[in-house]
Amino acid sequence: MKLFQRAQNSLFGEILDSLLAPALLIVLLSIGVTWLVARGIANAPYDRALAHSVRVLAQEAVTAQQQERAFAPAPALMALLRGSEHDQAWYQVVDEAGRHVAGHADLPPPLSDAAAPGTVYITDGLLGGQEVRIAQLRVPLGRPGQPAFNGPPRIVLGEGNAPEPLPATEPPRPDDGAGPAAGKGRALVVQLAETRRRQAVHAGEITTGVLLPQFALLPLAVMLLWIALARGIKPLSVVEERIRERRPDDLSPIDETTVPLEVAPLVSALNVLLGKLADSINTQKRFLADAAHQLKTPLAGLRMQADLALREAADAQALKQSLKQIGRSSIRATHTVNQLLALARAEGGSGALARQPCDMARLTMEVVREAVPRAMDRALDLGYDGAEPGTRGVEVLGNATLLRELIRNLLDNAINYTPSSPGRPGVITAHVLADPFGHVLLLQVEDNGPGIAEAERELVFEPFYRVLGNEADGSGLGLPIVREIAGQHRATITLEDAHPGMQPPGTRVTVRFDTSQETA
Amino acid sequence: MRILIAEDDHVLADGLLRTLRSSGAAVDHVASGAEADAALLATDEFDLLILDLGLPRLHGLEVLKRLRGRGSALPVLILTAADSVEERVQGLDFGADDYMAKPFSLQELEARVRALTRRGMGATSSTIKHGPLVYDQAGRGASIDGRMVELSARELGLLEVLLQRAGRLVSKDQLVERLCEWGEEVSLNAIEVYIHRLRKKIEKGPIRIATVRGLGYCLEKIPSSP
Repeated sequence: MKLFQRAQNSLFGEILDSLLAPALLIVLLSIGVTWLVARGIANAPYDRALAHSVRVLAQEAVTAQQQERAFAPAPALMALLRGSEHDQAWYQVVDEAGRHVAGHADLPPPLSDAAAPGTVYITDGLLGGQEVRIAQLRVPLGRPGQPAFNGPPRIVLGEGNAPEPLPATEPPRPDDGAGPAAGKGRALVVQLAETRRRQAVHAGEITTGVLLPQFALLPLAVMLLWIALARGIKPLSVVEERIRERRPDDLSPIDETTVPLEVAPLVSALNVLLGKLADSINTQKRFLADAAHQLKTPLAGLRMQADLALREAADAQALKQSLKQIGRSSIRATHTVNQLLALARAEGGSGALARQPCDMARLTMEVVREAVPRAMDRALDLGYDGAEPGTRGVEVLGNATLLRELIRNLLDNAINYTPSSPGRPGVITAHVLADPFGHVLLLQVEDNGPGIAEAERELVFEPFYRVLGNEADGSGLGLPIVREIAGQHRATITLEDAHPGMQPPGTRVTVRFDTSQETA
Repeated sequence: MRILIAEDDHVLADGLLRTLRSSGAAVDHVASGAEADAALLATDEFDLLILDLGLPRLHGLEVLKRLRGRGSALPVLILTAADSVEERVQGLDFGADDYMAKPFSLQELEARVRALTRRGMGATSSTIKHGPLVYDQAGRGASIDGRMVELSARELGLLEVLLQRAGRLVSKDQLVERLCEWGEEVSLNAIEVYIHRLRKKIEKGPIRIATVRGLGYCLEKIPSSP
């Protein structure tokens, strides 16, 4: 039943409905039961009176038979036998064979299975269009003067009730006294029928008296339920108020100890979410601050060089120098901004990453190819040494754009930090090693530069941390970007010396991918 | 004047170097905190340190802390990208004399440099008077009795050092350190030549550069008129 539910799922409505349906059912049941019981109660005294009456009548009939006279009860007796002045009564006496002896002819025939003598059978019936209650009694013809019955009448109600066999109160007589021809036999069946108007009124009074209050109870119960529920739910609106009153930037946890027990887990989960949100926002704030910070230095350089160039004493040579430096600073600033965007993109895509099989050998070769001009500018020897595209185990499930970004950043680092001179040329090599059976793919970039000191191997992954080398043009974001992208592809990064023991030791960066889910 | 610049951004460092050199100072450059610390330990002949806070290998504040820890009163100008009150307070409390946030204008930089070196010399305004000699720090010129004296960059540098230590002995080695950047070769004989030229131009009236044989030179104090 959806009496109280609104468009959106309402706990209040649901509780009320699930309480209401059974309540209504119970009330209906109780109405039914009450009515049945009321009727039963009302019936009982009337039936007893009727049973007595039919016995009296039967006694009279027997006596009349024994005295061999016609049976005609006095009107005064009839008046007595009637239940009340509102009702009417009719009687009938038949013999064993069913032949009419006395009384009303139209009564329904006696029940054939109402055979136990001395037991009153009471049923409902119709007489002349009116509903009547009929009592039927089979009475054996005993010796004159002998009372036909002993003790209170035994009443059996209704039709179809198989009467229990009783030991006969009177043993059948082998011979009867002489009597009128139509009364011959050993027993008479007496029927007494009466209307039950008085009883109906009585039953109605009982029913109303009991049921009416119950009808009043139902709305009262609903109202009480409503009030109790509303009070029970009130603590929830207290929590709601507390949350609403908060300042927009207040992400502190909600106090779990003062909320109801049932809501505490919900509040706890909310607090966890708030914590994560606060962390995320703090990281972003810190990052933005760092970024602004990092851009101020190239901007200061730009401004300074512009001021210098505008000096009156600046000659062509000085101007050229200034412009060259302005160019460098602009490129540096642009690079920083691009890297910031790349990092933001890498971080932001962590939710919905469109993963496709990517041939790491092919990707690496492409990125190396793109980096060759830059390497040549610095007289660096850049090369690729590894698996061929298409071989088994070179495919990684991931995002090609991000993976390309990862490889490019590793190569850029090597290019920026590896010095090269005619006496000692700088060498950078990119490797792709696939192990299809172990489900591992290694991407390595190796150089013969100054290496990264052990103490700094964690620090270099911090944004804007720059290991001092030569004229490093990096933005300080290369390795953080690499770590972010590797993390999203569930890969690990290790830094080590490329040629331990040698001077300079060089750097080898290894990114290890798990290819076990691939079908390559 | 000898200045040390500790700044890791090469474009900015280049700008600073060229600016300061054009005003006649001898300028040296380091790109890491560790190198700055080493340079400051090696010699105390610098007139000014321009220190960027965001240095690799050793934070600028740490360099400053160590410098002051050695009892050095070297004037320090801090450059930084962050411009928060906390950083300013921290820098000044650690012993910096002045503070500039990036990006800044050239003119402001030069003025602050002048002010700091002035303070180092004990002067209160941009001009230093020594009897009839007036040395204009800002204009990079000297005049005697109101008439401008033509001095080369080296001669100006020499005069500045002697004025700074007026009345005190300055050795030839110190003069070399003061006037030369790393990598420059100035022989002690060359110093004698410069002193000779300077004397010819400014020794008038009470102004005298005394030679202390075997030890160095000294710009004699002008006795106060009785």
